Parts: sequence; structure tokens; C-alpha cells
Amino acid sequence: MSKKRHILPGFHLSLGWTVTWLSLIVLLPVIALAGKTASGGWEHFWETVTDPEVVATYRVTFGISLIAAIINGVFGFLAAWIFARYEFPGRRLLEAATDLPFALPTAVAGIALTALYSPNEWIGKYLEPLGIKIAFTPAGVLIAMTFIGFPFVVRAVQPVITELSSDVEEAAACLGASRWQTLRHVVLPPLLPALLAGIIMSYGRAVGEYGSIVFISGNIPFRTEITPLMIVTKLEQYDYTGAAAIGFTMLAASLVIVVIGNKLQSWGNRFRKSA
Amino acid sequence: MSIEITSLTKNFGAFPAVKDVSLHIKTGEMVAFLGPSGSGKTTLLRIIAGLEFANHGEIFFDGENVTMKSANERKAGFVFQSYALFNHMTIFENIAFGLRVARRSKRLTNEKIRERVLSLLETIQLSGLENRFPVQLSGGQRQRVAFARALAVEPRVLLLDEPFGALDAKVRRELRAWLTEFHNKTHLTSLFVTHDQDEAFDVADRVVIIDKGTIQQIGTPEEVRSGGGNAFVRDFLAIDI
Repeated sequence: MSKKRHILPGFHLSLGWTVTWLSLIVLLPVIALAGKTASGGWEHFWETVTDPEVVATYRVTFGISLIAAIINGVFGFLAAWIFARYEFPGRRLLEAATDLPFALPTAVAGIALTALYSPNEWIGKYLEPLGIKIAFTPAGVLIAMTFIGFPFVVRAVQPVITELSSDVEEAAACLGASRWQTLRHVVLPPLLPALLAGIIMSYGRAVGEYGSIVFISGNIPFRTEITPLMIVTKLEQYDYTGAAAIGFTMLAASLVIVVIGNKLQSWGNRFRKSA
Repeated sequence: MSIEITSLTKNFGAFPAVKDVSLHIKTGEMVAFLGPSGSGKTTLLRIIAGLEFANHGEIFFDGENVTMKSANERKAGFVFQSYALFNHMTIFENIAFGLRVARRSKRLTNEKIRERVLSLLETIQLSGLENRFPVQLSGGQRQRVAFARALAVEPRVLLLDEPFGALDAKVRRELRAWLTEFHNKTHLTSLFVTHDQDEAFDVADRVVIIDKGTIQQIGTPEEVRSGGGNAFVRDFLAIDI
């Protein structure tokens, strides 16, 4: 009987450490959340998560986040392409600006966006006469969600574009492909997994976002209220099990999103497996 | 197809990669561009393919001026040292690519495409591997797929940029023999960039020796080897006279 040997030493030690760490940092809070939720009983759980006002927030949080993630997919891809492929004055500055939503406290972002889009402010006052309202409408929520999710797509896609060698594009051109055909059939497919990863991360970020949205959304029930706000509201009312119930629901939904995302990515990467 | 090149010059910034090169290549010829690395031989080949554009000079394919035409209009069969296969496509789809992107009026039916791809797979002795992905093939197999992909669109000229440069010696010899045989059968006009003189003399009808962006000597392998060239050629080929 031979034990399976590994070339790198310390496999068991590092695996043990990883499992312990994951348990402490990720699994334990999840279990605590589940436990807290369970302590309220099934009836209370179901009542809380199916409350019409809460259900309306799912639409806002999961629906608008999806739109924001798709918008970020398109424009984030474009930005990543430009950063990876072109050298122009101010590129570094623009790249740094892209990362700003990563670093900016979300409440600051919320105040900044509200200051821009409120009816009497910089952009808002020009949109108001046109009948376009951003602040305190779902459009405002969309803008905040797009803002905080943008860098995820850029950061996921840019290194892959940089890595992409130009010879495949040249090969496609020599075979008679137009620029558009080359982009569509040769350049984009290898980028798809990274793009999906970026979109999913941006989606996850938008779903969990609180700070930057609550200012600009105005928190109008059934219209611009987001699910995380429901949690905070419950907490303020000392309804801890109610907050946990909504949190647990979000957790479950996020898990589903992550699993779907992983499936999509491995599908997009299927050609990298060597047999 | 014949190729006529007249006083071609290409500068990369201040660096002259190709200097005033004129060359005539006859239909059906196999010509090797031989020279040290950085001599401008690859740049010359890329200008012919339309992957680079010259600062001065003109290029004619069969008398037609293609100087301003883009690579996808010239449709030269180009084989890269790095294979440049489409890794996300199966071997079948790699070879079929040029046929699939053809203009609708000229596009073959799916059955015809299938027929052509399978027959090319037979030519390159890789029948049965059509559903594999490039990462699942060896280097020599990948380069043969790249050949088949270039040949699928029936190019009028084959341009090979150090095609065997990334392969080991044994596979190199096999592929070289295969290429010679293929050329003897089809007489497809072929230009071949290499820094390996054995390869050049073995495969080519004529050898063009290039250094510092200019042609040092043109001739059959016998002529070049006999030592009639200038000091650079004698030194490069290590001919003792």
C-alpha cells in the first residue's frame, strides 16, 4: 500500500489550516445566522420573508442589481479593453479612478451621488425640467449599484485581455475574417469566463450594497426600498430573528447566484481542460 | 501566384526594419528568407501578408497592386511560429474558420465545409482528432492543424514564419519532409522565414539571404552555398574559402 505522495510538502498542514480558517471566518457566522433564524420558528420566518413590503425589496435588490451588473459588463469590458490595449495620456489616472469605488466608503459615495442627482443639485436640476427624476427613484438605485460594481468587471477582464496574444487576431484576418468577425469569434469567447466572473462579482456587490443606496433611493416602501434596509429596519425595531430571517434568505439567494456563476464559468472555460 | 515587391521600406520609429527591398517570386516557387534574428525577414513576410504596412514601396500579387489592401482582403495563408490556433475552438472549427467567415455569397454549405475539413485532416495525418481542442495536441500536431487551417481557404500563397521554430529536432525533420512533399505535389507559391540554413537549403528552390533589412544575396541553394556572396553571407553561412 503506498500513500499518495505530493511533490510540495505541507499539504495536510495547509489544508488543515485552510479548513479551520474557512470554518472560523465563513462557516461559523453562517451557522450562527441559521441558528438565529431557526430560533424564531418557522411561522415567524415565513411571515417575515413573505411580508409584501419585504418581497417588494427583493425585486429592487435582485432585479436592479442584475441590470446594474449587465450595464457594468458592457462598459467595464470597454474600459478594460481600452486600458489593456491602448496607451494614452491620462490612462493611469483613469485606471486609478476606476478603482475608486473599491476604496471609497460607501456612505461617501451615497452622499456624493445624492448631491449630484437631487432635484436642485448639479445634474438633477437639468434633468428635472425634462421630467427625468433620478434621486428617490429606482433609477437612482440603479446608478448607485452601477457605481459600486463597476471596478469588479474591469479588474476581472483587464488581465485576461492583456494576456491575449495578438497573433490569433492576425491569423483570423489572414483567413479573411473582418474586424467584427474576429472580435465576435476569436477575441470574445476566451474572455467570456472572466467577463462572467466580473459580472457576478459586480452583481453580488450590488445585492449586498447598503451605504451608497439608502441616501439616493429615499427608501420609499414598495418602490426604492432595498432588502438590506429591511434588515437594518428590523434590527432597529429589536426584531433580531426577523432580521436574521431576511438575512438568511439573502444568503440562500447569494449561494444560488454563486453556484450558477461557477457553472457558467466552468462552461466558458471548457476548452482549457486537457485530457 | 507570382509576387512582385518593389523598393519596399519599413521603419519602426527611427529603426529601419526593411530597407529598399525589391524581389520577384515566380508562381509555384518555394523561397526561403534566411537571416539572423532581427534582420527584418519576418517583417518582410508580414508586410507581404498585410499584417504590417510599408512606408514606401509596392507589392503586386499576380500583377495586381495589393499595397493598400488589408490582410483579410489579401488572404495569404499565414502560418505562425506560435501556431496561433483558436484555443476555444475544436480542431474541426479551427480548420473550418476561414470557410465559415467567408462572405455569404461565397460561403460553402456545411456539408462541403465538413468534407473539406475532413480531407485536410487526412492530408495532415490527424484524422479522428477533429473534436479535440488545441491544448490536447502536441506541438507538431498543432502546427499541422495551423497548416490545414491556412490551406482550407485555398490561398494563392503560403507564408510561413519560422513554422518549425518551436518544435523539437525530430518533429522538425518530419514536418520539413512533409512540407517538401506537399509543395512538390501542389506547387503552391510559398515563402518561408527561417534562421536555420539547413532548413532553408533543404526545402527551398531559392534562398534570399537578408541582413539589416536588405537583401544580401538571392540564389538557388547551390549558388548560395558555393560561396559567391559577400563577406556577410560567407561569415553567416560559415563558408571557408
